[in-house]
Amino acid sequence: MQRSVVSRSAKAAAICAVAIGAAVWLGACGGGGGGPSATPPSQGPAPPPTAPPSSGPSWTSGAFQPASTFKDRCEVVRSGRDIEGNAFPDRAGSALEDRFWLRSWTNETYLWNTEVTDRNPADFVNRRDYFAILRSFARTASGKEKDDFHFSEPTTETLIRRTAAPRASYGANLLSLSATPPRDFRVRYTEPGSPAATVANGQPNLERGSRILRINGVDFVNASSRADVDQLNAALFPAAAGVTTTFTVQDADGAQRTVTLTSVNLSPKPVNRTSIISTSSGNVGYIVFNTFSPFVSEREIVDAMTQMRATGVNDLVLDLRYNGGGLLAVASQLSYMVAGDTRTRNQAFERLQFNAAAGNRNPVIGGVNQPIPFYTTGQGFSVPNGTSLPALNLPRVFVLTTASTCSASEAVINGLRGVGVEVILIGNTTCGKPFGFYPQDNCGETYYTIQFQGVNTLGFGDYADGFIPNNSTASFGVRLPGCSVADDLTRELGDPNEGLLSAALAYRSSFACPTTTAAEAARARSDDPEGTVKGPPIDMPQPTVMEINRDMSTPPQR
Amino acid sequence: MHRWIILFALAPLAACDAEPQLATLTEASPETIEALTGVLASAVGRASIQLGPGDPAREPVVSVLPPQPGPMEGNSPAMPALFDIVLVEGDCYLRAHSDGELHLLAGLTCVPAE
Repeated sequence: MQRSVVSRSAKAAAICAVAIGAAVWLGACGGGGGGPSATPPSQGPAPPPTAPPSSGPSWTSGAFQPASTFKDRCEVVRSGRDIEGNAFPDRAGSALEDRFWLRSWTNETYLWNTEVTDRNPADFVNRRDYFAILRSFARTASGKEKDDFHFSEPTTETLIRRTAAPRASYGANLLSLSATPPRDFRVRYTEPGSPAATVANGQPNLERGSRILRINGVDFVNASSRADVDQLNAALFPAAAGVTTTFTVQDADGAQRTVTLTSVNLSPKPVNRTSIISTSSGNVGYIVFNTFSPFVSEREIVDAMTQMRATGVNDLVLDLRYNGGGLLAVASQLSYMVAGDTRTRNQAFERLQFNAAAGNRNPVIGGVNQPIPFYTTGQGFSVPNGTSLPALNLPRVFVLTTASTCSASEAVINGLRGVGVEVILIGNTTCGKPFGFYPQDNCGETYYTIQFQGVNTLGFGDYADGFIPNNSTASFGVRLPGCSVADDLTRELGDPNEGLLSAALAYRSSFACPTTTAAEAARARSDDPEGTVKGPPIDMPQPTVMEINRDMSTPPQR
Repeated sequence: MHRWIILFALAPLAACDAEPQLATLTEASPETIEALTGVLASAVGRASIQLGPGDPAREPVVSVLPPQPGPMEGNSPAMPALFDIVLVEGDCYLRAHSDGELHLLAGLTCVPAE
C-alpha cells in the first residue's frame, strides 16, 4: 500500500495513536507496509523544490481560474472503467494542470483557504508535494496543528477499501499498548456471535482485558526475529476465513488460558450490546455504539432505542468510547431519539460551515448549504425512508468517552448541547474533530482536504481540542459536566462495575466523581510505550469502514 | 443515456401536463428489481448501486445508497438518493427528490399507492 501523507505531525500522531491505544481487529491484515511518499513541512511552507520550466497555464499570485478548468486534465490518462464500473473521466492534460486544479480546488473549497500561501504550481514537480502545502499551518489553543487531517491516497485504494467484502477475523477488537517487545495487546471487546465471543467451559473464548501471551506457541510478548513476527502477523490477521489459531491469553484476573479460534468473515456490529440497568431511581439504558459508518448502523441504533423506549428508561448511558464517527445523518437520528420532538423541533442538528467565500452555498457539491436537521424518521440507509423513530425525550444523557470518541460521536455531544440537553461526559478527552470533507479524485489520486466545520444550532463548533470532563486535569478542551475516568479493561462493557459505567451511575445518584479517577486518567494519558522499541513491531491492519477511529486523522503508517 | 430517458419521459408530460400519482410496482421479481436498479443507476450517474431498504411493490419511495464512507470519513454528510415511484398517464416513472426529474421505468408496471 502506498499512501501520501502530507503532515508530519499527523503522521506522528497516527503512529502514537497506534502505539498507545489504537484498536486493531484480530482479523485479516489486508496489506503490507508502505510509507509516506512525500515528507512535507510541518512548520509552514518550505522552499519549493526546483522544477524544470514547463508550458501550460501560468500563475498569477492571488488570481484563480475555476477548478473546473483543470479538472480531470491528466498527464497519465486512465482508460476503461474503475472497479465499480464507472468510466474514468480523464482527458489528456499535464501534471501541471493537475497541480493547477489542486490550487483552484483548494481556493474554492478548503475551509481555511485564506490561510494557504499561494505558491506557483510550476515550482513543484510532484502533485503530492504541492498538495502538502495547500493547507493551514495554524495551531489550536493547545498547540496541536489545526489541520491535522490533510492527506491523499491513490484512488484505486479508496475504491478497493470501499468495495471490500467483510474481513476475515476472530471477532476480537484489540488495544495495542505496545506493538514492540515487550508487546502488550489486550482485548477491548468482542463481536457478538464471533469465535472470540463463543462461550466454552462457561467462559467466552476471549474476554475484555485478555492479554495475548502466545500465538501458535510463539512468544507474542518477546519474539524479536523477523520470522517469528511474520508468523505472529499471519496468525493474528488471517488472510481468509478458516484459519485456525491457538492463543494463550492472560485474563484480567491473572488466570492464563489457551483457546483455539478459527477465523470467519465478519462485519462488526455497530451496536455491540445493550442492557437495562435497574436502579432504585428507575431504569437506566446502556448502549455500546461503536460506529456510525456502515449503513446498518441506522437500523441497529433505531432498534436499540426502541428497546430503551419499550423498557421505559429514565436515563441513558451512551457508550461511545470506541466510536470514531461516520454518517452525520445517523448521528442526527440518535440525537433526536435522545432529545425528542419538543427540544429538536425546527432546530438544526448541525450546520456545515464552509469557507467565507462560499456564502450560503455548499462549494463542494453545489446548491444551497442546508443545515442537517434532527431527523425524526428513517433516512433510507437501512431503515425505510419516512419510518418514525422512537424518542426518549430525555433532558440529559451520559456519554462515555475516550480519545477514540471522534467526529460524528462528538457531533452528537455538540448537537444535543445545542438544544439544551445536558451531556454528562464520563471518561477521557474526546479527539476533537469538528471538521469534515468530501473525498475528491483527480487523475487517479483521491484528496482529503478539510472543507467544513460542523456547528450546532447555537453556532458552536470550536472543540478542536476535544470535550473534556469537568474535573479533568487537561488544560484545553471544552469542559462538560462529568468525571475524568481511565478506560477500565478489567471488566466487560456493560458491567455496572466497569470503571466508566460505574462512574456514570454514581454521578447519576450523587453528582460526585470517583476520587481516584482524575489521577488514573492522567496516568492513562501518560502511557507512552514508544520508548520501548526493541524489536520488529506487529503490523497493524488498515482499518476498514467498520473499525477503529474513523476520525479523519492521517492514516497510520505501516 | 439517462438524459435520453429524461427527455423521453418529459415529452408526454409536456403534452398532457398530468399530475404524477404516487405508485408502487406491481411486483418485485428479481427481473423487475434489476430493471429498476438499472434506471436508478443511470439516474444517479453510477455504474453500480445498492438499493436501500424497502419493498418497491409495497412502498412508493426507493432509496439508492451513497458510496460507503471510507474509514477516514468520520463526519460524513452522505445521504441516500431518494426517488418516488409515480404513475403518469399510465406509465411508471421514478421522480428524484433532489430535483423532481422523471425517469421512465420502461417495461415496468405500477399501481397507485394505497
